[in-house]
Amino acid sequence: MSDLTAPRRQHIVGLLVLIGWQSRLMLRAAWPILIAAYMQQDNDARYFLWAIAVGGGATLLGAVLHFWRFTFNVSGDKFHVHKGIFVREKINIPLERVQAVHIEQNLIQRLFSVSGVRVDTAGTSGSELRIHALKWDEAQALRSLLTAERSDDAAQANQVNSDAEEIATSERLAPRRALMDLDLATLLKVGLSQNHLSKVAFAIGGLVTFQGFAWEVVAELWGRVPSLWRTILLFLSPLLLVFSPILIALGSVLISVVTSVLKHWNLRIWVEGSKAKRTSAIHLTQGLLNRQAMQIPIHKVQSVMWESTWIRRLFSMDTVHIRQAAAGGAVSAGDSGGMEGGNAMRMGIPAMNGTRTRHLEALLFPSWPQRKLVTLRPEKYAFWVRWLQRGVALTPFAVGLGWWLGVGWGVALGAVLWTWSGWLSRKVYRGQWATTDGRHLSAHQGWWFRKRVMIDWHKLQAVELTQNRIHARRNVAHLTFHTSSGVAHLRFLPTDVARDLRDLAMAQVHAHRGPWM
Amino acid sequence: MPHLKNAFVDLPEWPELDEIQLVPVLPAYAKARALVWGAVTLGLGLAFAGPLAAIAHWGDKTPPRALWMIFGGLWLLSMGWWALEEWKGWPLRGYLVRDRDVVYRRGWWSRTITAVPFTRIQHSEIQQGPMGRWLGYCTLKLYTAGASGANLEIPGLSMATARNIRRMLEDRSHE
Repeated sequence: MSDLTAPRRQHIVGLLVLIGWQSRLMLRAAWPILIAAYMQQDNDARYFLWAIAVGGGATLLGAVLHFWRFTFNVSGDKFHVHKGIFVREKINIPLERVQAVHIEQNLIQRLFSVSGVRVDTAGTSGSELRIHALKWDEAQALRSLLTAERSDDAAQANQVNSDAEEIATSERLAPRRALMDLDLATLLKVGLSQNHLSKVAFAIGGLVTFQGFAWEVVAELWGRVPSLWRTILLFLSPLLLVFSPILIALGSVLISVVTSVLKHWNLRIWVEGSKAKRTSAIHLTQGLLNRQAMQIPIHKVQSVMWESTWIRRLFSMDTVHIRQAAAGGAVSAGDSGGMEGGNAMRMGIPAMNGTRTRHLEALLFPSWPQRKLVTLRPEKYAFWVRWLQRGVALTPFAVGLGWWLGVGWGVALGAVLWTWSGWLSRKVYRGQWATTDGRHLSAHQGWWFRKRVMIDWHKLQAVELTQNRIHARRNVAHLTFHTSSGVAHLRFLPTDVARDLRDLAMAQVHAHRGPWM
Repeated sequence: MPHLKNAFVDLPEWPELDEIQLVPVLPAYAKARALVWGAVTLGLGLAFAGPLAAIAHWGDKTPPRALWMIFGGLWLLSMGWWALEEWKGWPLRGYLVRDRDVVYRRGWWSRTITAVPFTRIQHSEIQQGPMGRWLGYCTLKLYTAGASGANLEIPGLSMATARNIRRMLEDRSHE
């Protein structure tokens, strides 16, 4: 194994991966110009192509220089990275700040038997850095070095390589407890239970893209069909209108299944390491074309979120997201639901059934539930507010119909819309509840798309209590629990309960001794 | 599992977060907020009224009266609401540095009370812009891990108070 203590470059294949990566970024930015140039087919288009060629040359040169200037090494309990072409950048990451190290292999990397390494910290937005190519055993050794919990004595030693070998050996010897081996039947169920609505746009886009080519083929075939058959086919042609939605739906399901198989192929999850030495971590490997290997140290897990759709519930499975501390700026509020958080620093596991969920809970929240659980439900006021809001928002449709077709029609539509929004609001209200044992919180939300978030209060960053003047009169308040991996909300609680929960959560933070991240 | 510890917390004994005893922020900060409100109100009023007045004066047709009413009504309503929020919300705005955490309260219509434990503060920053330098106030920013919105900003502090709080945080982190 090569020396990881001295500054070194990545494998030469990294240059190839870097060029491919940057080319992909460039294509993504320039595809409208390329399509315009192809459609235009005249001399003006060549200027676009020249501009793209110059851009491509600059990208190639940039990739070579980036590869040349990028060096890394591990020494003195820190991960050192030197990079930058015009502005030299020296990054020193203390090893205790490393949140996770992911090993990935795309097709090119697999072809050359190398792998990419992604190092995440909680210090900056997104990934701290990405190494595009390292030999497999070097990547494993680097990951072992970066993620191992280091005692002061051992960490100060300069025998990093021997440490890595020792760690790798001890990891090999450590008991490995399997959590999941995804078989083909379950994998297909995962594909079938995806949210197909998001794939409908892809299916329609595919049809639109290839309709020109398909039309030519159909026209050619049409010319060969005997006239009698043409008459019969023309007679049956209205059926196309009936079958096209079915075709689009089938296309969407097919896309879901294929993407799931590609992503989760040979999915394996296991737990390895010693909990006492804080080296215990959840490991995951998956992927058919792009192989992915990631691990999350158990003590660095900040929150866990389960989510399910009605299709997944038919198969008695849901998806779990194990989240670590997100970097500054990495968390977005766009993810609506009980837990808001970005995609960074999380491990997504599909096909969680009841047994696996209980195993995971016991692993990540071993003391849950230590005491009798208390159930928290929003006040009935939440239902009335939601119904009123939705009803008022939908009323203009009824008014519009009444103005167009007559008062009777407007009243009828209004009654239907208000009934429907009342039914929906009741479903949403009943789906919103939480349980706590005084140390953890398990918050449920949603009716069609259900979410459950679990947090350990001693890892909280802040607690926020919000109440507007109407809420104050109605004696309800909202609570927001901020963790380093996102936010969990409890809405429309009785004010005294909200205050007690806030104080209890803060008490757990203050009473906790020891590291939390 | 013999190593597990989950000590019982006696909640009634837990020190009450007394919201009445919050420390008010500097009156200079109220002036700054009033100035911002005035500038925005004036700017928006001119932005709406200017083009309509120009059309009425130089254009072929005078703008419909309803347009004046709609724009004027919206402007009055939004600026009035903001003014009410500032006026009534000012006495409620305040902070409290306790033994183990910092608490900040803001808002009249929608009141928010945020509590951040000292042990979760990663770093702090004192910010003073041109208006702050002119009127003599600054903003203390307390950053926590992640970016879930748990960072706490306490505006309207004197520089000495902000420095004292920051020094106290540094002392606690070295304990």
